[in-house]
Amino acid sequence: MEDTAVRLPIADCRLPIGFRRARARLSTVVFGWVAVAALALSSRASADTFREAFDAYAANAPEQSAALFRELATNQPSAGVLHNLGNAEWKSGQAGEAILAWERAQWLDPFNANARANLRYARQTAQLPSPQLAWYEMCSTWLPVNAWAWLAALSFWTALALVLLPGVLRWRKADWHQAVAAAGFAVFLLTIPALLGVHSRTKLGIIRAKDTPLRLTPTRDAQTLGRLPAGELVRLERERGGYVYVRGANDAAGWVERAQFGTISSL
Amino acid sequence: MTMREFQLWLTIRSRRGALGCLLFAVLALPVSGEVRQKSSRDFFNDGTAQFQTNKLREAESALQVAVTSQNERVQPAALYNLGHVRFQQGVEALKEAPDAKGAAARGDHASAVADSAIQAADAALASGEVDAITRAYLQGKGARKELKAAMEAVKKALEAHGAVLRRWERASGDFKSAYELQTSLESAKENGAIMDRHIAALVDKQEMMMKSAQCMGGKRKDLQKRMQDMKKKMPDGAQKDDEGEDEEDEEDQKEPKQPKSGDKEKETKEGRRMELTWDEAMRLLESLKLDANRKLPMGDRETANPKDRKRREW
Repeated sequence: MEDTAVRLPIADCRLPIGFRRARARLSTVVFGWVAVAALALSSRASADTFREAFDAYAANAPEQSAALFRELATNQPSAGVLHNLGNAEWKSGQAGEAILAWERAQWLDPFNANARANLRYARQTAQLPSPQLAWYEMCSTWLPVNAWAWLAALSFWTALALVLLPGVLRWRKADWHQAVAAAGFAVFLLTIPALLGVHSRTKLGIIRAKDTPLRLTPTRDAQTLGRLPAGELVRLERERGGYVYVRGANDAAGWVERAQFGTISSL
Repeated sequence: MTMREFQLWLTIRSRRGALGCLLFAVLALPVSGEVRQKSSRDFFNDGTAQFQTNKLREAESALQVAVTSQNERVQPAALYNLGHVRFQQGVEALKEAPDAKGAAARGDHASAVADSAIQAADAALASGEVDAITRAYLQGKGARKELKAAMEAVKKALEAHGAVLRRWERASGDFKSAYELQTSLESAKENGAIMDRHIAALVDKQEMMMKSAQCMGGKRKDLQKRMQDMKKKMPDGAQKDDEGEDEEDEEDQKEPKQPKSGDKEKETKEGRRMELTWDEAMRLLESLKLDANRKLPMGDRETANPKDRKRREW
């Protein structure tokens, strides 16, 4: 392949212009077909992996199923895959990983009732406190994260267009222009707290491992302040080296190893 | 008011306002200085000063606050000093702790005494003579007392050394953490290594004491068995005299009662649902109020009368 790639420009220079254009069109078409074929193959491979993971879960092999779902979630994250990953992790006794997967499923799709129900059940079973969110964070959970961004952008640009365009294009001024612009600005202003909530929720994370030590300093031999249960919701405040500084529900703050913590928003 | 008068009034007012602002700033300055919260650097300086005057507990708490503040500049130095403070605390505790070698030597001596008592008991039991058994029994009693005292001493020494070990382990962690946060602190690394050597020596001492305690425990059991055998062969009068001391000794050896495998908790009785009238319910609730309406005297003259006047007034 490398050999061909090196020779191609030399051969290309000798070809007539018309032929070169035709070849360019042909190569675009070929590239398109290859891309479609690759996509089809990858989706088929994903479908196979999903089937395998599902069969492993049904055959009571939750560890194997979780590994396959994890692979799927890394390649093509979706609320459904993350929900199934959570189920497999819960069945294999990994409460922290299960809660993290369900929270991620909720992040992608806040209307996923199954993930919400599973989260409630898991928190009750593991005796974990339910998350305490600020009002603007609660607002941000009403719609998917992308929907808020779209809504804010659409409302802002619509309002701006209806304020500026009539003047620029010399349209006749109409009441509905102003009414739509005002509504657009109102919607934009209403989305600001939700966007703030989304930004604030990107700092939320879940403790993955059981009895994770909460350290006073970001070091290996640090003083242990306490231990956090798997699945506890914490807020990321700062990072240093291989450690993150987190604050828990009861205001207990300290450093935990980066590997023992996962943010909900990072998929 | 003319325009000229208005301008003059405005000038005076603005000057007054400026003067007022200046006065407020001068008055508020020291107040805000007092209110200003201590920074992590202040805590670090406080802790270091306290350490220099050998106030270890105060130094530890101030330095701990400096470390907890998560100030990246102060944290390594505060950890380094905290390591020194905790090492010093361990040294002070070790000075007050019973000597490990002394405790172990006492334990060895008690074991030797118990050994000779066991031999005497064996010989007496073999001979079957009452006098010899009585003598051996008395010797055993003395050895048992000595064993008990030595075991107590070793236990106390072990506890004290355990507390020192915990302090030093934390100090070692502090030095190592300080080096991990700031690799230019070479002395922190060296101090960590020194701490590890101290800890190893302390663990050796602890092991020595634990071996002594184990040896004494074994001897005590053997002696106890022989004394019970001898007691059976002694006359009734002598047996009754020793009952009190034996009971005391047995109490030490008794293990706490464990629940049996078949044991079950008694079933709780289910309460019956009762229909209450409004009045009955109110009366029941009133009866549950524990001194809710009782008022305490507010003034110093308004005191309650004592019920028993015969007693002394304090």
